[in-house]
Amino acid sequence: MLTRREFLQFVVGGALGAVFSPLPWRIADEMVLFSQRWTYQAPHGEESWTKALCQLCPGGCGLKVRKIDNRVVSVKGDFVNPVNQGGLCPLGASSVQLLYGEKRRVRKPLKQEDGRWKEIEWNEALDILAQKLREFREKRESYTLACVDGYGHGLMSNLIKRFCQSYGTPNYLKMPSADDASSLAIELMQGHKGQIGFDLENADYILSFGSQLLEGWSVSVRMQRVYANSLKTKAKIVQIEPRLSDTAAKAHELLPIKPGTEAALALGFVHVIIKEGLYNQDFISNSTHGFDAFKELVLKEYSPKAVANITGINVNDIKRIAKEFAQAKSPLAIWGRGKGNIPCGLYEVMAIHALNALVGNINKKGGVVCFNEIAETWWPELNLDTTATESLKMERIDQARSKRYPLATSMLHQFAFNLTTEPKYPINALLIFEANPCYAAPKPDLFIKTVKKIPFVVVFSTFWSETTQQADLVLPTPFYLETWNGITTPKGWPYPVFGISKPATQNLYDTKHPGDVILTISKRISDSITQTLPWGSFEEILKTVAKKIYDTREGKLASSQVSALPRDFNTMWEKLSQGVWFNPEVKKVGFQTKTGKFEFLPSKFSALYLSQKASLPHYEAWELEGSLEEYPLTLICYETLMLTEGYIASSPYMMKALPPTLLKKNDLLVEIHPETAAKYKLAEGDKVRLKTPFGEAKVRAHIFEGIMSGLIAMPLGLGHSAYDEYLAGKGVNAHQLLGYTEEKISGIATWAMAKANLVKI
Amino acid sequence: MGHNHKHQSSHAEKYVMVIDIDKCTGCGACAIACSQENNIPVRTDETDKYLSLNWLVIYRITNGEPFPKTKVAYIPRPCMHCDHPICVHVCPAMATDKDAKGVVSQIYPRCFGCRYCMAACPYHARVFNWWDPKYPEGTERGFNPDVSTRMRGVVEKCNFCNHRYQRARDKAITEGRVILKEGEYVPACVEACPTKAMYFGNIKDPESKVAKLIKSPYAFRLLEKYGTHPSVYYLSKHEWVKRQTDWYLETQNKKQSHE
Repeated sequence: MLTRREFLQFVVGGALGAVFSPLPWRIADEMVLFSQRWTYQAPHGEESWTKALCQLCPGGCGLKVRKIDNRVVSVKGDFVNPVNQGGLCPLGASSVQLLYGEKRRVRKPLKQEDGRWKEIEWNEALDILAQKLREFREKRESYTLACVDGYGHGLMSNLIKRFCQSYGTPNYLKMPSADDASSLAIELMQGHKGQIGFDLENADYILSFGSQLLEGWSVSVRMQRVYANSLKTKAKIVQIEPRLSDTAAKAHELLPIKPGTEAALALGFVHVIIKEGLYNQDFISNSTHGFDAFKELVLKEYSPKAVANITGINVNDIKRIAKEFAQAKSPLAIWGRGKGNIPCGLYEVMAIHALNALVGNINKKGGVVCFNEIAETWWPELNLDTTATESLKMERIDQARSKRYPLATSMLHQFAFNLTTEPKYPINALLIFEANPCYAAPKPDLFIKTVKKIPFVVVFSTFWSETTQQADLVLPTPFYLETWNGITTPKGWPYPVFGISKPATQNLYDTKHPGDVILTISKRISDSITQTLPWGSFEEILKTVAKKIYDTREGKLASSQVSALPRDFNTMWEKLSQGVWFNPEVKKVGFQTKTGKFEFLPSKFSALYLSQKASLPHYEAWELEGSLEEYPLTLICYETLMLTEGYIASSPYMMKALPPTLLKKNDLLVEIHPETAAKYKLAEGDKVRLKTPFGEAKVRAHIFEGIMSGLIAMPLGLGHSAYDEYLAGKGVNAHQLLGYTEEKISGIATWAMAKANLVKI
Repeated sequence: MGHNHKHQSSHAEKYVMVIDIDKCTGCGACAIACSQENNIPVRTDETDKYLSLNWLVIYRITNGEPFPKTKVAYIPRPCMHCDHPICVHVCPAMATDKDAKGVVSQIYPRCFGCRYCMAACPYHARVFNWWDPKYPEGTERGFNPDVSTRMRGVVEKCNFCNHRYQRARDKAITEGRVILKEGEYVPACVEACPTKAMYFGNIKDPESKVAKLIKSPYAFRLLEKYGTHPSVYYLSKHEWVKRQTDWYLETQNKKQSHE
């Protein structure tokens, strides 16, 4: 029995106990915390806008940068800029995240000592670098320095090349891309060594041989616009690709082709055009050389029937597309797989470009245009000292320009291969400029092995990449929003563009512009190098180029609005650092070949004593490694806008936007046709082991209608081990499976495809 | 529905978005620009799309034809800012409302996370903060101060970059204007679009681009059969696109009622 007294005691005691015990308060607190935990709110401040030019891809889009006090908070497209005309791409829109994502950024010069990183001051870093380089040069071993240029074009690229020459090393390398074959083909057929542009805005028939136009080819923003305009102008886009990329799905027509047979298809088109007499007779008879030999070869070997056999595209389609192409007003055939980063063969480009020549659409509105840009040609003549000239006579490690590879200019894969097997001489130092070859070079593991063999590896990098991890010395470079920079003509742009980008914010970290570093160490190495690189800073180079452009009085300025060049240079400089100079009326470069004509049969080939067929655009099947029994399938790679494939890696927001059919947790999904999947008894999301002669990986299957049977497709740009937790460990690096296949004549290695097999786990 | 209409008829501003699906290439610049503008958190694993937090999602549909005749269309989907917003009606906390200019707002501190609105929204435009917001280290420095970050346990969604409206209006008022000029107030997604497939403006202004575009025979809205009357219009000349976005049912019904 409970008395009244006991009951009251219990109630009061219970109440007091509840009040004094921490439990209810704790629960209440937790509930408040759970439902309303106030988050960090950014401080307000004064808003201001400044302009910059994006350097995240070779596009160089104009941006307006929004700042609150000293903080950059967003970027938007600059409507006055002729390149992007106000548009943005996912990568450019990620600029702020890439700028401030501190886990990815290299913040101070670093030295690796016994496997440990040590932060050092710039002075010490430059001393180490200058001393080493001086030492090799004094020993007359300049050639033992190698440089990897991650820019590929523009002022920095030229500066590195110039530094290599004046230092005296022939071992200048750049990251491979479709540009290698492109420049080489144009040089052989037209004798032109400068810029190559495609006037897609004015073309009414675009025949794309695997170029992923909407996924970053040329300038991403530009190509989106070209597509949108094609809806209005009714220009036709025909995509030739083995898989349903975004471009393929949006193009007016898709021709699914067996990967690697693009050259054969181009020649099939040529066959039809010649046979039907649809080519530009005027251009062919007056401005070309070697047409008869080419005609004979094509008529003999590339009939639509033969081509249909090679490519898997039916005869009627070949005939129809060829006629449509030839009868269009300004048809344009373009090349460069993916974003133009995946190399294609020399003969492939020659065969495709032969189509442009057949319709005579070269240096015309809506065609292929060739021109020179001042930013490339202004450099003063080089006066090399004897140390440099002697040293430059050494054969390159990669054997480019040797008897074996007379046409090649840079072969990163051979560099790695030769250095890890039997090099003619050792490489003592390697400078890597804003590139990530330990991830993005063909066979990245081989490159890592190469780097480990080199005693002194210096990496200039904004980001903490796979390559910086292998370095002995890491020199931090600023993000594009923190520094002075110049942009030159974007890839594939039909006229010259030059722009200056000034810092939008102060240096966040202890970084230096790589151009400034080259100029500083040159002065510490020797006087003769200083004479060839006399500029005090990279900004001075920019100013000099701007002055040269100012002196020509050509072109227009786009800053707050489009205007003619101002009368005095100071105003010009002021406006240029708020925008770009461009010149749509640029003088086109005609045919600079020996014959002064477009050469189907390049005269430059005659020195190589090739057979008649080997001197003409023709089709050669890629000799892929591995046997058909062991590897019955073919692995191809593709690119997407949300994935970048090299040094500048996808931002966390871009990773967030990846479709669920591409990545599941950390597993990559590879695309497989339902028929192939049925053969291997695979269902959606099944785990499989993907094997190629170069490696294997565990992936998942994504059953996808939009791919040819017998193929497996995977994207480039995943499988990082560096950067940050938003990127590292996700998916598989396609390079590790694709390896490379080399084209003998040009020494170009492509990783577009490899033989493969699947094993269900 | 009633009180919303009262608001609008007395007001000279109503903002709508028009998206040309045929022009859209699905590049995703809009989604990234949106995330940057609105301080949207990002977790290390975002592959589970049910948990992934986005204000603007790009849906992908295909015409169903076999390869290689397959065509793809992308449908960028911000909040539809319906004139009959079901989410507003179901909210027990009055944390969300349709404001005078047509924007469906969301007041984060008022929301207690019951997620009725999410269940009600037929467009999945609303997302829930299951966790404290997380950002890559250091990127807090790039936060937009005009947009508050959201705490765990609340629902959030696109608000047509309402802070941009406020900034534009403040500026207009200092210049002695009440109504904004065309182009003064544009959300981040519209601004970023490289193909200019997205349009934004005041339909109460008959001269505005959007007022003309929504009269196009190719204009339609998503899931019109629910009678939500979205403020986001789409344009497409392709029958298969319209059919998959439910326009087809609507016209079929109309036809039947005419018969």
